[in-house]
Amino acid sequence: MIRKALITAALLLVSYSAYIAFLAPASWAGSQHEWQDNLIKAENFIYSERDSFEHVILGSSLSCRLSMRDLPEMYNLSFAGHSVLDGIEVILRSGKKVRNVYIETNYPEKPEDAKFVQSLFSALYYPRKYLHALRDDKRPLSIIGTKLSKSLTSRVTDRIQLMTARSGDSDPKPMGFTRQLTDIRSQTYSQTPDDSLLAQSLRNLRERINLLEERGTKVVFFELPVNQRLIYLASPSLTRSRYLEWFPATRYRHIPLPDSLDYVTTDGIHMNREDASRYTKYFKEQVFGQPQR
Amino acid sequence: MLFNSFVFLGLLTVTFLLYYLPVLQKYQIQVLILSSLVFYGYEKPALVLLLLASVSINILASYFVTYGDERYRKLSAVLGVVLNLSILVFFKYSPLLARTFDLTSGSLGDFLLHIPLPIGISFFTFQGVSLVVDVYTEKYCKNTDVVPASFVEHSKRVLFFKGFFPQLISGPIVKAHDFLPQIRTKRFGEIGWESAFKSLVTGYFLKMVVADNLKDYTFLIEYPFFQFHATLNLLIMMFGYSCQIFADFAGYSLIAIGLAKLFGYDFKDNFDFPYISRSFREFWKRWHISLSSFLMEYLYIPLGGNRKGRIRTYVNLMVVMMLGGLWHGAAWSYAVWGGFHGLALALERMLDRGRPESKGVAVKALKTLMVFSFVTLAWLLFKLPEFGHVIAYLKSIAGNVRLEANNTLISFILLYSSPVILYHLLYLRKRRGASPLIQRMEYALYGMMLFLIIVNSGTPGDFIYFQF
Repeated sequence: MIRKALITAALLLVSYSAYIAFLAPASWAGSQHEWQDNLIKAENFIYSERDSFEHVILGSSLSCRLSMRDLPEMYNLSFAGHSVLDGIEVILRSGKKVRNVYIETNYPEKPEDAKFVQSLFSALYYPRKYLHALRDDKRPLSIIGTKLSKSLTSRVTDRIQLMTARSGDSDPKPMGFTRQLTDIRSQTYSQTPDDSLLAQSLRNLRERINLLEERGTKVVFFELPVNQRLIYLASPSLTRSRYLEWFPATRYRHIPLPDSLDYVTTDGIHMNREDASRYTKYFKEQVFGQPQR
Repeated sequence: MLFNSFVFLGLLTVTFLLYYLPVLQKYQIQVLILSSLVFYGYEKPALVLLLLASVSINILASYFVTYGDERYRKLSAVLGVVLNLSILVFFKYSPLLARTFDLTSGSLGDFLLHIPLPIGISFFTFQGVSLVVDVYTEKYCKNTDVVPASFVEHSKRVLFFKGFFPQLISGPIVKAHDFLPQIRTKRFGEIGWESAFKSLVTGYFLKMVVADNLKDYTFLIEYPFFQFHATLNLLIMMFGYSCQIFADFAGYSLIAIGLAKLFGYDFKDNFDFPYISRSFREFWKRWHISLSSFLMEYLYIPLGGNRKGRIRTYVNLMVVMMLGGLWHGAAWSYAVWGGFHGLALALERMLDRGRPESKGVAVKALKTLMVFSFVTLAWLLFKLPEFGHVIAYLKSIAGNVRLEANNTLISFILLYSSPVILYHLLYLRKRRGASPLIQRMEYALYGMMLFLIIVNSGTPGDFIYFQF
């Protein structure tokens, strides 16, 4: 029984690998959640056949919202829930050459996650380079689940939703959500951050940026708009000025915030899809100088 | 050290090789003790000292009960149990007691609130209690049969019994009378490979593919995330958590059972398809069996069980279940959780008195659904230890009817919960007599589980029962 089970598992693995290599359509990929998105982005970057990248965006979950369809020439190595330091570490350890990096400045105090980066480069992860079936975006149940959520459940849940909702009273958006979270965030954003901790974070960042620059990478900073009520509170204001002290505008380019700050967020800090796309166009215009259409 | 880490795999391989090496055959127990201490102290070596202190109490108490002065037998046993429980209370319940009796200010409060919770203490303490009580009562075997006259030999066996790594940090709670008689030299040829393989593959599948994937959705049950989810999401998340907690703990127990088999030791089943239960009584005979049988043998029966009248029986049930709840965690919500189950058990006993069991399929199915729904609802107290948050969650279920359901969340929870449902359905099918096709294709099922462990494991998470 044991031998048969082992052979079955091996056959399934070989068949699935062959399917991915030769038969699967390009759309045969899926992600379950943000954490998996992080792994997929990192794996695709590390195992890419390209030796160099022209433009790479590094940031937190805020930058994950950028519309990459509008930026086909860029690679978004922003990790939700992580620091930009993790993105830099991935670049440095991958050995890939990057000409320009765009670093989000919103959350410099977020610490790096050494475990995350170490796991990506551990020997146990190495087979993923050659065996695509082991990669996170090829997990069969993730793909089935993604397809399920797009077809079957929309019909089922819509029907249940219709049955449970009071007629004529349907409201698809949690209206209090954004306001409540923005209120909570405004309290933390109003507090002046610990200057020494902020300095320590920026010192760490500068050390890593120095390593990137030694490899010929050019660094540009940008700040993503959050809810208008938060942008000029104590914490982001101090962070903004400290960034300019550690990375002076005479040496580094800082993409300014857009003139109009009426960006709509889903929770106070993450832009909704439409406004993320709007900001992406602004960002693209700033980087490439193309006029906004 | 986690069972699903590569460091553990390394430790297991080395231990296994040394254990069956013919020249080291005389030292099998020593090999396992050493390996267990490495396993336990890997992240916090200081914990080994606590384990050794706990083991020392049990060595002395059980030895004095067996070979000490007859006049002090009872005293030795009582002292052994009290000291075991004192260690547990000190490390596990000090912060709760400090908060309850408002001792949070000053240096004493600060000290009590910051006592760290050593991993596995609830499990190895209960094992220690079982040793002392078993040798005192001699209910299952003569105490001289399990406590050798040589103090050194006895110490070695007790350290092995409490420290054996498969069950050390999250059970199953192995009882002295089940384990100690198994200690002898084991041979490689005696390994039950097939049952070990089945336990390990099913256990790792339930943990790594089911529980570790479900946890990435059920974390939304936590406060304040749940408030902004639609009623349908909230209900599905509760269902998902019910499947996750089963997959996590039953998975862990199966891994422990499989690992013990590799070294020639048999642990009793800890889960027996609990979600098919048609009564609360049946549920507790199928869920975390090692704990419920421990509570039955060492608490409910000594309290009088059902021998002292109806009212006393109901009181005993409530007391045992509330204490069982508190065993899980140092928060009153766990006692409330236990109380809920105690109340359900008592009510069920009251209502079922003298009533013949219904044989209709629909009634049976309805009963199963009712027990499952109650159990699932009660798990909220596990996930949300603050009682106010549980109420808020229930309010959100009632109030968020108009919010839009999240299809992705629902489909992934249903997808990753489906193996738990299938697992129970297969059992029901087997109980009615397994079809020859299922029997013939059993290997394919295990092959598929292995394949999914390789390609579809979730991000590793701690086992839920580690916190207890």
